[in-house]
Amino acid sequence: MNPYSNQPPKAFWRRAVSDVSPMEIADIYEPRFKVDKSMRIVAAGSCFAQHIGSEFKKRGFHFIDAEPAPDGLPDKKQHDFGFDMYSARFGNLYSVRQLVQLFARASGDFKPKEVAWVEADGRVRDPFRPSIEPDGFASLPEMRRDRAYHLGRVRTLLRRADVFVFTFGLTEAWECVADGAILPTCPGTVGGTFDARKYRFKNFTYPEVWEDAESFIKLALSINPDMKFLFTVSPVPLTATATDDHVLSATVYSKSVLRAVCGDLRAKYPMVDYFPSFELVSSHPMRAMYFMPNLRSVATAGVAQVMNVFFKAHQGAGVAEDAPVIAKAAAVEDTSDDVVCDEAILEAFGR
Amino acid sequence: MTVYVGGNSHCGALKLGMPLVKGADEALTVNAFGGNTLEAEPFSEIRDGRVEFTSRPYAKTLQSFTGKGYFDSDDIWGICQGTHYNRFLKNPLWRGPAAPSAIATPKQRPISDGVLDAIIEADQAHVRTFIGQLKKTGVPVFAVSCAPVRRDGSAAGLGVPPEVILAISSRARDQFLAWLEAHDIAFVGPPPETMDADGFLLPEYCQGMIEKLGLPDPVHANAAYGALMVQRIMDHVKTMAV
Repeated sequence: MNPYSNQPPKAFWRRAVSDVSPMEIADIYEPRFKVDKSMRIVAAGSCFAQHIGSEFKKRGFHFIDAEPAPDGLPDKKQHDFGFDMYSARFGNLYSVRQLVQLFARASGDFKPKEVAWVEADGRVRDPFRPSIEPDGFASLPEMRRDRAYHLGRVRTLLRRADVFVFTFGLTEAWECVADGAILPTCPGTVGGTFDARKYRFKNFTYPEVWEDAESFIKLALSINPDMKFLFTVSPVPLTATATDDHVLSATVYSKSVLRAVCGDLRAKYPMVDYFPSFELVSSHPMRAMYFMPNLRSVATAGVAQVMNVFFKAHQGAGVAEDAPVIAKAAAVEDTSDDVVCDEAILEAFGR
Repeated sequence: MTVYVGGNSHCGALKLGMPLVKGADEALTVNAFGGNTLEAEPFSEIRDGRVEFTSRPYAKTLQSFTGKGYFDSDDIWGICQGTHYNRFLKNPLWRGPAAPSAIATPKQRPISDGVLDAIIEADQAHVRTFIGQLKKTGVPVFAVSCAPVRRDGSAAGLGVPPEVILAISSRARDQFLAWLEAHDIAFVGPPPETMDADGFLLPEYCQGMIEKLGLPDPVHANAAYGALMVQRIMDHVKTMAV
């Protein structure tokens, strides 16, 4: 007898991974708590989180959208304006620091000095949601009114949610020197003008991500003591790194930190669960088959695989009738048009 | 060559006004294609180089109206569509919960110009497509304004505040006129004397009843307005170099 003798099959690489089809890897996710259709779900995070929110809605879960698109705005335009992506119109939240600061801004505890980006043509962008209006706001007052409404809606989320789903995206970010406000995009890409005196690069370390995540959990529990948290790590690699490292090394660093934090949060907090979307798409047994040819964008089949594993584990939640069949995984079907990802804009700035 | 004016139910006022304008019968033929709700879906296409209606009710009316199943480039067409705003003015959004950002109160959801423009553009899309198709296929075409919004109109009756009606309708109008200008298509606007200082249709130009139904008409203009418009259309046609 040894400590491995009574381990289940899933504990052994050969039986759990190498001897099975990557599409049939079993028991990789055993929910700590069940998510059912009576639970109110709030979702935020990096661009992969858009798929998660979308699947919750498609499968009839009680997904909270505190800022739905106004009637009359065509479906195909909604993502252009940041609607129907997350539980409010906050755009992509790549880092936990952004998430923490979002709620601090909503409560009035944090008032960033970075107010607006006024473009040469007079259009105005919200530095914290630079692509929320494709052409920018018409004026500063229009942007202020929209932001005030938006933050008011964000304020309602924590008390309304039973489950908070957050997808950790990146450790790399751009920070305002003046007050540490984290921006979702580097100034000069989607909007604004880069000025090294005003903005600096920030690559969050494990302790920083951990501290931010704990801070968010504590805030949420102070408002809603019964809140549960479902964390995931986005399998989408960095489009570009601002470090001196190779983008592949930078991606592995980033994802490793986030994955480690998620694991430790799950270990420490009984109300925290981790769903392995990163493993299901990015790990080498998957042979990159869920990625598009650019090895960055996740194909529809990859999203379907991830979400089917999730919903199958939550018995009774079922599989969406129109979810793509996994056997079609080889089909090259680009989902990138449907998933708005500010980070992809960086691609345009690559040499 | 015949000069036709066709479009949505706002053609009704023009028809009522025709007998009041000397020479109108010889100069113009006016008839509605059908109700404006059909404008909210694709209703036309180019087949064999000619524009035809894909909407059955519209196609049927066109046939009986002109004796042709298509828009003939030998005719002149005035299209009375694109400036009717009730479809989106009646949106429950405008009855209190939201307003265009510039006039929203702190308790209302502010709708940015960008979002509002996208809503308007979606509403006008098929009318723009249709008029663009006429232009593309060589039909001499111009746009004719629908009657200005009414202060007592159906949107107002549903609780949409006048300032919201004006803000949205004027933005929609500006957007449509900009599109027409970009496509070099003329626009015959409403007679200025039929509107009050805010831009609402004056009560004396409002149609009181829908005669056939014996019901109040909260949308359209009357024969007096129609006569003034018909005269403007006739004046415009004289300027067209066809």
